[in-house]
Amino acid sequence: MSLPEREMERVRARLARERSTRREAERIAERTTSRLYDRQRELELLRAVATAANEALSLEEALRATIDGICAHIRWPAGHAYVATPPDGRLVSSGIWHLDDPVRFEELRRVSADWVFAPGEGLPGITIETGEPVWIEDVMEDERFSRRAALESGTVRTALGFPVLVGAEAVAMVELFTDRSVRRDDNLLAVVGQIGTQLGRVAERMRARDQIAHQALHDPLTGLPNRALLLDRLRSALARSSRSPSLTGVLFIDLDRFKVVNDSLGHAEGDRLLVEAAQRLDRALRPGDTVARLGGDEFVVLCEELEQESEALRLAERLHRELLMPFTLVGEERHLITASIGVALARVGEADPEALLQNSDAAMYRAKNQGGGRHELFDETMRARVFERLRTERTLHHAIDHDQLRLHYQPMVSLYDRSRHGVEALVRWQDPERGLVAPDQFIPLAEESGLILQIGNWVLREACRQGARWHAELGSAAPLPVNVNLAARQLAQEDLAEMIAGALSEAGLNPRDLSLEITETALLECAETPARTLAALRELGVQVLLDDFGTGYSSLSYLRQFPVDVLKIDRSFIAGLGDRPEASAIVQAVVGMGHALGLEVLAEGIETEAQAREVTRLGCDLGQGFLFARPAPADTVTCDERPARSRAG
Amino acid sequence: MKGIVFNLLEQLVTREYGEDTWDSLLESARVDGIYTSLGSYEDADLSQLVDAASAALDTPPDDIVRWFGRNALPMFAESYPHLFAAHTSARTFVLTLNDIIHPEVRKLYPGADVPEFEFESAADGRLLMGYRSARKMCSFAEGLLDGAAEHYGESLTIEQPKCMKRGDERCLIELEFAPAPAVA
Repeated sequence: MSLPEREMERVRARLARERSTRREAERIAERTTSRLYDRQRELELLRAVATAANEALSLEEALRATIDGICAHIRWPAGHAYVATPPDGRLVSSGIWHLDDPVRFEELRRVSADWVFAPGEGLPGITIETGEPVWIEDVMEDERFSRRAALESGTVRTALGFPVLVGAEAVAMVELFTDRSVRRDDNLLAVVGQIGTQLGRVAERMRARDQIAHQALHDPLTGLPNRALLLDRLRSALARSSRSPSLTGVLFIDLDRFKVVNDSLGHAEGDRLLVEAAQRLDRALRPGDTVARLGGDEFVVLCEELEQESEALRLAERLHRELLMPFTLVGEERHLITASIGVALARVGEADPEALLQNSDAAMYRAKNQGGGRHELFDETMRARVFERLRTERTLHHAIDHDQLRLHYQPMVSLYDRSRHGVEALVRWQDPERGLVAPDQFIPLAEESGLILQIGNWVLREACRQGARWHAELGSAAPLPVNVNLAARQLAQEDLAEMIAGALSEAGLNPRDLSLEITETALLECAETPARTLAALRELGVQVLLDDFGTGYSSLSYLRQFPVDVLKIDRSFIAGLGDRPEASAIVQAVVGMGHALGLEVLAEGIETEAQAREVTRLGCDLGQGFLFARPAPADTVTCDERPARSRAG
Repeated sequence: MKGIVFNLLEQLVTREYGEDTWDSLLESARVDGIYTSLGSYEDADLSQLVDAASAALDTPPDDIVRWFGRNALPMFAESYPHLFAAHTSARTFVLTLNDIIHPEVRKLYPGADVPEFEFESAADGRLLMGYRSARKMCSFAEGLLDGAAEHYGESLTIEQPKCMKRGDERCLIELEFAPAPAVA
């Protein structure tokens, strides 16, 4: 071979080597690009699914978007989801399909809709049981695909399934089909596995959301609808009944003496009883009726489409019977529980759910007042009474706003010398129509409705102003201190001491010229605040009297617990003096106890000289009653010629 | 146009007619001849090369392109055997163009502008294939189809009643596959 030829040979060889090198480089680049491309498409799919999942308002919506997305991405013509159903997690068709050609896959759809899979059974069951994606290359040859027996046409070849799990619990599975034979693709299996995880998160989110919604509308103890849901259903029921001749009824159920169970057996047993009562009530209902728990031991049944009044009453009887069966609580003890039931029916055109509920409540109270264990129908008489009460409440409101309240003052005297020892401020209502209304005519109503707070506040301020006026006009001859009565609701106010301090400084009254009268019952009704409040009042320099002493529990422990200065013996004991020997004994005992605790004792309701002599003999320090003075307006109180006791001593 | 097409043409011409012929073609087509498989190049380069070959061989450009397609197919079959192995007939293979083969091409050569075909089965069993492309390379498709038939040992009769080059809105290629090669 000549030199140039050899040269040429080598150049050609070099060229061929270069070309091969280039081809090799290109092939590497192609493979890398291809992998990148796959990866990118997978990411796009995952992102699309994530977006759809985040935007979905339900798991069904997320499944639909996901199945559509995957089918479009991998160009498979059919996709479907099975959902797990309680209690055993059997899988039934969700009805969610992606089908490129619905006609071609009609058979698959029909067969899949009819088939129910237990865990471990068929493609859906295996997917759920293993918790992993499953690939079946040829469904018609693979026994794992149990539906193949029912499929004649062979429209599907390869199938792929993946589970949707929340924790270890299966909620759904997605299956995808193609009519081509496709070899197992591990990348795709990994991607659908991730998609399943994302869908699991959606399911978890939906559950949490549903749970929150459920909690907002249900009583956590019994699982029954709560007041909000009841009112909502009641509102819809009333709207529906306005278009039909049928009646809507509400039964208000309050367990009798439930508090006794709670107090004697403890809250846990009380709760058990409530849960069982709830179940019993639920059992007694007609389909479609609602039983709700309003709180405490109060339940309400809503029944729609009643033909007549008697149907509601029959239901009440059924509820009584259910509740009457003994409850087994702690140990073997069996308890009989009765209930008071108030029945109210909506009149035609009545659309206010709150009003209907109030009516049934009023009827329940009537049943309770008559001894419980019975039911009462809210009738026209009750309606009239409720109406009257509402009217009074309205006018009382008006009275407060229009300055129709007055204070009268009744002096108290020292029993030693009959000298005046302050006055008790008593509220009156100057009604333009009815004249002067006594407190027992409106204070109980005011206490029920909460108006007592406004009234009490006014009384306090007015009494302080009057006290200051007297002090300015009469100096040491002023009929001070002035006593103001506090209701239970006032006593329960956290900021009561500050309010009183405000009223004092606003009026310019010395705290020692104000005394507060509190009844035993008021003390008992507010369990929490009184001790602290009373201590704050004493700190302020205000005296505290325990009113109506002897009518409540008169417990010594209260006297130790609550700092008071004066005991007021209830008028009922004074009225009995002379007739009933035990009345004297009681008064004497209270005096002895009061004095032993360093308290002064006042006798209320003294009407005769004989009573005055007797209470003086028994050791009472102070007296109050018609014998000495009747309650009177401020300007006439000071006309009393008897001098004020020197307050220096 | 992806560089791979030029690479295939170069391989084919070099194999059939030698390196010098390829060099001459590049010269007369006035193209620089630097093509890598993943790169994208002017469509005009290909038509210039085809025109140059057409002039040199005194053969219509469509015949050159058809010849290229027919001979390119075995090269594809060699590089991507799995795409062919799943089928036993040219017809089912051809029907996977849109769903499998072209997506694969797009994977390997990002930016590849492969056509989408419209398939329809005629009552007489023939396969109707609609083709729309600004490149108007229906003869390349015909050549590839011929090659596919040959790959599966079948014969193919092609008719093209409509063609964009003749002013039609799309090309319509009618295919009749026969199991055994027809004796000419």
